[in-house]
Amino acid sequence: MINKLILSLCFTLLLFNSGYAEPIHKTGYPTLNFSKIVVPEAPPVASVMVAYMDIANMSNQKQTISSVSSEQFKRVEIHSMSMKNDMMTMERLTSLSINPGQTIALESNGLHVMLIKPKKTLTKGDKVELTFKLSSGEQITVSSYVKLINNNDHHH
Amino acid sequence: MTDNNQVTDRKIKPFLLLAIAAISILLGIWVSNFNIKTTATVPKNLEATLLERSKPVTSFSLVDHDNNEFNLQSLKGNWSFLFFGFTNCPDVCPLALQVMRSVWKTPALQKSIATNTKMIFVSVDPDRDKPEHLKSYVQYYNPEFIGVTGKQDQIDELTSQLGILYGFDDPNENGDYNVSHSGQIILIDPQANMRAVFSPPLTPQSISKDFIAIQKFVEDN
Repeated sequence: MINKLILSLCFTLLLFNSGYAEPIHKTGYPTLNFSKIVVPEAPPVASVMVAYMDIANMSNQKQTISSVSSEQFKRVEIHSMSMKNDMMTMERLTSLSINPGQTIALESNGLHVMLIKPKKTLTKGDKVELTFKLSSGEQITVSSYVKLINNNDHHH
Repeated sequence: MTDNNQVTDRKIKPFLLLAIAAISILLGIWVSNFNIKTTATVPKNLEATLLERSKPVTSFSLVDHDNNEFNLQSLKGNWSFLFFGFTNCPDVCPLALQVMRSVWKTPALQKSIATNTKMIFVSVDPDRDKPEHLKSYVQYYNPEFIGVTGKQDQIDELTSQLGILYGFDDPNENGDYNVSHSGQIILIDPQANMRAVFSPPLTPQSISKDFIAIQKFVEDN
């Protein structure tokens, strides 16, 4: 009888642990790793903000970000900035693919996440949450705090 | 008589030749000194592009963020840093204004900043950037900064002579549009001559260093 109880307890613990292990695996080892996230403070009247970061593909297959969203902004888009015809030209990317093992830097004068029409003014220290949706269906939410940039030090 | 003339000629000729030689030597020294002086004062190792010949800015008419006239006269009597962009710009314009703010705070520039320097952000997007909006935007970076805009053809009067390019993208499904634009900061001297161009990547350190050298060069000439 005691043996049966111990056995069922072990079984329950095993079930509990295996059930609990999955989200840990998801959050602890995401397919994409986001680091160096910086959201510079913008003038309160600005209708756009920007987020810079490094995105590393930790998986062994190509990952594609199909959209980005945030409850704090009306829209979030991934943009590229490049020099065309002697002008700094911004283009919206409909998706962003990252090869296995590759790290893409989103930084000024290059790629960036554009945060459009903040629902409330965000200033230094405010938390910003962004959800990246992958074409695989996976969603990864990351956060950072608005930072006051005193210089052009948001370059990596 | 002829003999006397010949004697006089013989006496004069060596003196004349000596005088010409002496004048030539002095002229040569003067010219070489002049050249040495000119080349010596041209700043070296600039990251900015210093115009070989300064280019006078000609008449234009815009408004500042208080709806006051901003024209050629507004550029006279002070050094002006001009950047052209728009306030819906997420990346390039904020970065340029942050750099301008850092230049403004450079300790070595405090004397000229306090007396005769202006930082000017010209919006090429007058439909969205009304003067009062522009004021709040630029003064976030520094209360002394000046926002300027105007009608499109008035803006073109200034951009065309400074080599600034810009263009509007088609609006997207939300009605938003992007503005492509030059990323340079233009430096204008107190006589309203275009003097130098700072091209990306812009850093406050290089702009400050170059500004000090260019100021000295212009004042010495």
